[in-house]
Amino acid sequence: MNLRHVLHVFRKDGLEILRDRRTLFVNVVLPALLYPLIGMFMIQVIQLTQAQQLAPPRVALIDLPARVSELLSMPDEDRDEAAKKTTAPTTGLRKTRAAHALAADLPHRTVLALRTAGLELQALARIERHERSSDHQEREGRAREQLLTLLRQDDLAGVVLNLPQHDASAPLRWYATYDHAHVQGDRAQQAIENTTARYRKELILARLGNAGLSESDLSPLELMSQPLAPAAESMRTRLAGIIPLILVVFAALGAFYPAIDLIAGERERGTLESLLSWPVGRQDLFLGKLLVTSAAAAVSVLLNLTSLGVTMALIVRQLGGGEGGFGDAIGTGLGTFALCLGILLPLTITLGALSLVLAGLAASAKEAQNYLSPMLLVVLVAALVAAVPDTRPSLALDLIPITGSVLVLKECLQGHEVPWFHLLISTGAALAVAAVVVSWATRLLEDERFCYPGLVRAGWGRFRTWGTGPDAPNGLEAMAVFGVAVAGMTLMADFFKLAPSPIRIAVPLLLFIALPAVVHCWLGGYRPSIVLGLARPPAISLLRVIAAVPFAILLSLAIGNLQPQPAANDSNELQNLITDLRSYGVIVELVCLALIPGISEELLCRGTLLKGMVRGTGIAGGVLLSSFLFACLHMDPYRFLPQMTLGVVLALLALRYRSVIPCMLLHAGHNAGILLLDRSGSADLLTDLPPLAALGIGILGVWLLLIMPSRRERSA
Amino acid sequence: MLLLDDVAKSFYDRGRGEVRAVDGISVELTGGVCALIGANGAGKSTLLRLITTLLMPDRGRVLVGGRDTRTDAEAIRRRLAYLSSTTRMYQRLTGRELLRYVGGFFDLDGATLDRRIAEVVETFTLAQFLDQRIEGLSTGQLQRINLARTLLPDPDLLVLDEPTTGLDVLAARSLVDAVLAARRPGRLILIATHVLREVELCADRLLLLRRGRVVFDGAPGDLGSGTQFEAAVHERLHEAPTSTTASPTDTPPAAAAPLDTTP
Repeated sequence: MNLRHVLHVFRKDGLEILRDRRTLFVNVVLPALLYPLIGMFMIQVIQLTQAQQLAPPRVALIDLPARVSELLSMPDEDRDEAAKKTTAPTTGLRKTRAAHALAADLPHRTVLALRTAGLELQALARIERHERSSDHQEREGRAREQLLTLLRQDDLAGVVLNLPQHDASAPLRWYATYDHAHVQGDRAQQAIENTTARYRKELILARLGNAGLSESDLSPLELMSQPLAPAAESMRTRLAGIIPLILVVFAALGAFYPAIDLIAGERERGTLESLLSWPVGRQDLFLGKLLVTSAAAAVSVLLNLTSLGVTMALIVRQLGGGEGGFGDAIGTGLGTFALCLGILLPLTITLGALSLVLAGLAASAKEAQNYLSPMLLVVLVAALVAAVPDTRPSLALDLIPITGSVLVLKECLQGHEVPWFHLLISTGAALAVAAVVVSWATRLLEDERFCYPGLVRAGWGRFRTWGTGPDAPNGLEAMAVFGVAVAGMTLMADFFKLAPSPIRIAVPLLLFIALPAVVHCWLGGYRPSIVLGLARPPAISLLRVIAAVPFAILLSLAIGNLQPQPAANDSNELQNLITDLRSYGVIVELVCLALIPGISEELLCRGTLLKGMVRGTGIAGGVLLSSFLFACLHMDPYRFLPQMTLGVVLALLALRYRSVIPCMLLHAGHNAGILLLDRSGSADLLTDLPPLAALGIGILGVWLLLIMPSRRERSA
Repeated sequence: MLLLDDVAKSFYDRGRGEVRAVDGISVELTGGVCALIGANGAGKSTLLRLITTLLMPDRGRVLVGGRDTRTDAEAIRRRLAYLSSTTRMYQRLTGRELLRYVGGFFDLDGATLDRRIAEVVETFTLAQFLDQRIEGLSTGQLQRINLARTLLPDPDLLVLDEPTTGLDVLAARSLVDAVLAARRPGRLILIATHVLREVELCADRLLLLRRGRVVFDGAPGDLGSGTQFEAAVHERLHEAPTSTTASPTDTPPAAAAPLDTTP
């Protein structure tokens, strides 16, 4: 890497971005102006709404005591209290009646009709389901329609009836029904419920008084609660789930336009050909552009956050919220602010790299927008995890780049102790993704099709001439094969639901995992010895693998203990299948759970997928990505880490011996070992070993036997 | 300076199948001005892009100064400059900023870069609009800036792909003059063009390309001058392919574009 060239590209592209009105508008002017403008608009709307005197909903009270009518016509208590507290800016808030009680005002004929229809509807609704006659539904519908017509004729939002009681000592029974299609239907219901509660309380107090009792006799226990933390802090904790989401979305949006301008724009404006003919390394070029994109994203986050905070604080102040409002809630100390930046910075690099590389795939700025829009959705979904209540960082979540970072950010904003370990892992994961993307981008820029996207090399015509393909598929092609396999496993596996367990396990593996890889190899004209890795390995590799199987099992179990385990009663469908498989005997079990997965998954993951990923992103990227996808393929979050570790070991093994056969042996041996341990009840053998010792022995054994290059390999 | 050894490059076209844009060209060029002439689709631009490392050959080798484009692309780019008629420049930069940006990649130290900028500014009389943004320049001014930035690093190999396309008569003539002025010992100037008059004016050597193959390699004077030269060029570009140059996957040749004979 030539740092001078990286900075040279950064300076020039930065200057161009600063002179690009569109990017400046979106990244600087828009956040600075949009939120204050929206804020001012909201204040105006709220104040206008408050100033409006809303007419109380009209409710017909039929045969109810006059006191109910009085209570209903009184202003709502809450409103009273709010009105007392508010000062000058909210003087527009006026006392309004909760509802307009009617009965005496209505014509006698209407009252009679309402009473009749209401009583009929109530009587029909009370009939138990099993006692209902065949025409019950029709009668109920007619009564409902009749009542609605009567209510609408007089613009009534609801009606309350006093139901006749034969026994004078029986409690009062009222029947209320509302027209929820009326604009004030909800308010009418609320007013009636509040009024009923108040009237009930008055009755109770009167009866208590008659019996010589006080209110405290009825409520011997009173719970008084008071918030202790400052309001701003409480609000900050509640907002801690949302703020990381907002920041990440701003970061992605901040990278959006610079990425398009710096890559797709360069191609569209016709400057790319010249740029690529100058003596600048492709990696330097990409890194220079990445610096600009990441800086733009970081600036966008800062400006958006500041503008949003200031605007919200102003709104709260204007509306009388005073101190401790939203503005205070997102206003954090310098330390937290710096920490947020520290967490977000690697994320802006990852998002910048992703945006640039996706824009680089596009032939025009418009096409780049089409590619980047789904990325925003993916970012949003990954960041939404923070908004889920009670989610906290965990090792598995840390490895998902955006999710890990937002969870750490959430912890910091909630005022918890900084989770340094998770911060380290999530930052590492974000930067690892960025490194893989940079590696991919460097190869992309080196490819002649990057400069001339319309160019289709003659080799791409191979689908017409069998057997003339290149050595390996490209990354996207391999991902497509993987996608077909996953889609087959998830969508088509139900076809075998009624089949016996061995078929339910073995056939989908062969049909949806192994077959897509084989068919792709055949269709693409690839050589199976290279793309599927079906080359004969050296005999020593097989001996080494056999010796390494116990260490691989130990490593897998030790790493499995590092991540959360499912609850004892938490069994999934696969677990049930495996349990059922036991009845078929150990041989069938070994074939279905060790041999067939060993062959099928290796053909796909260490064959097609690894070759494609290595071609697309280099060795490190290929190993990591193919292992990640291998772990995802198992769709078991509780086994994610051991699967990914096994994937890394298998990928390194495949690259070392240029064959998947040792991988098949190791994979099958590993599965068989775990299975036999489980059958013999020795799966908990690790409880006798300290976890770190088990991990150390496993890593050492696997390293010495499988990964460490021999002297001859080193010299080569 | 430049050695093309059995260089071939093919593309896949949905309509036509495999198209051999460059089909086994072997040429050695040492210095001076070499013109490439051929109809549209003859493979001129592909050949120049292979030389400038923007494309890699499917077969054969391209050696620039003894270095292979496959293995030493970045070192080769230090020694060459490329300008095509489709080249655009950064609209939001000024001419001076552009020259500084380009010079920065050639590892010229500050003083040398300043001196070289001053030289090209004087050579191409850019002073008047050097500090204006490129978006405000005329086509002729832009082409002068472009030529200045290609000569800024003092390259040994100058590759020009139809540089006078879109220029008026005067601007085109001044560009040809600039090319002539850029000649120096040890420098090879490769220029692809449709304008036969330009070839007669400045080329020491002429390569006629037809369907990705060289059908004439010699001095322009070998084909005569004036109308005789034009007729000879037309005759060679339209003649039927020999059995050795025909390939089974080739499609019938596209109608040759009329060659522009105006200066």
